[in-house]
Amino acid sequence: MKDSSHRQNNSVERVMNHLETFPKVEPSQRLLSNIELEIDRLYCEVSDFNMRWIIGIAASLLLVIMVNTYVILDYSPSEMVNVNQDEAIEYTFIPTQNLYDE
Amino acid sequence: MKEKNPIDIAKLKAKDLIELKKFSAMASSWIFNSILHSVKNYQDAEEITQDCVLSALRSLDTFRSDASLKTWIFRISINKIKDYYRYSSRRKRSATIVPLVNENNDQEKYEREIPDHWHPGVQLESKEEIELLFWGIDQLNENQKQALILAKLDKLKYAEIADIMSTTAKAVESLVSRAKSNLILILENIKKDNEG
Repeated sequence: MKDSSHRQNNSVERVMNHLETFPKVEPSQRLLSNIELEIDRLYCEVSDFNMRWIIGIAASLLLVIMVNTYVILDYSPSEMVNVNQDEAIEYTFIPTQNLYDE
Repeated sequence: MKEKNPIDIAKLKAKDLIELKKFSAMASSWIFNSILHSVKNYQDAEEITQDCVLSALRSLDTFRSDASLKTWIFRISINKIKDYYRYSSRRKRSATIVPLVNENNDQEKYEREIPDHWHPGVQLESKEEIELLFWGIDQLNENQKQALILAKLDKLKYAEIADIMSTTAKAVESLVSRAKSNLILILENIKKDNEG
């Protein structure tokens, strides 16, 4: 009886020692890189989203400026490109004068 | 006593890229070992680890800054392992139905395959003995198994395990002690069966 319990205790110790000396396994470099890539993707999605807003707002502003220049100053797109500085200054006053005339 | 977090939680919550990567590497190293010993499949362990880390990052806003990151990520991993067991047992159950309508009736094809070399240490030491030991651990109930893995293989303190398993240190001590004696009984029975 004593023998059997002693044998069992030894066996418990052996198993537990075996478990405790079992090497800790670290994650592979491949797994860490995959997670880093996922984080990059997550982070880039956020910055893409911001970038889309910035481009959208900039494009809208440009469109508003173009339309205003075309309608108010009566410039055709080709004139906008070819007009010289003196003409540009002269033309800017025309719509204002017209408004007052009416 | 709560361990001080090795990572700046404020920066982490602000989605600072460097801090996010530091956390992911640290968290993977914390949980991978226990996940591998629980699921015993290297590829599945990698998938679950990645899933845990990304889930943690997604739910960073809900993390209390005064809590321990280590405990938090371990809790997430335990839940993911439970999901994995549920998924595996569902697959096993459905696998027993499939062969009934299968002409060849080759049930083995549908059984979950556990690779021989699921652990890098298995090749170095006595493979059969270790496989028997882990088979024995597998037979324990879920809580005993979890407590034993965290205490003996991850070498966590009883207080840490108690935090992770939402119980007391005394209860963890008792779980580990019962796990030990049950494991010995299981292994003794196997030996007797083999001898007889």
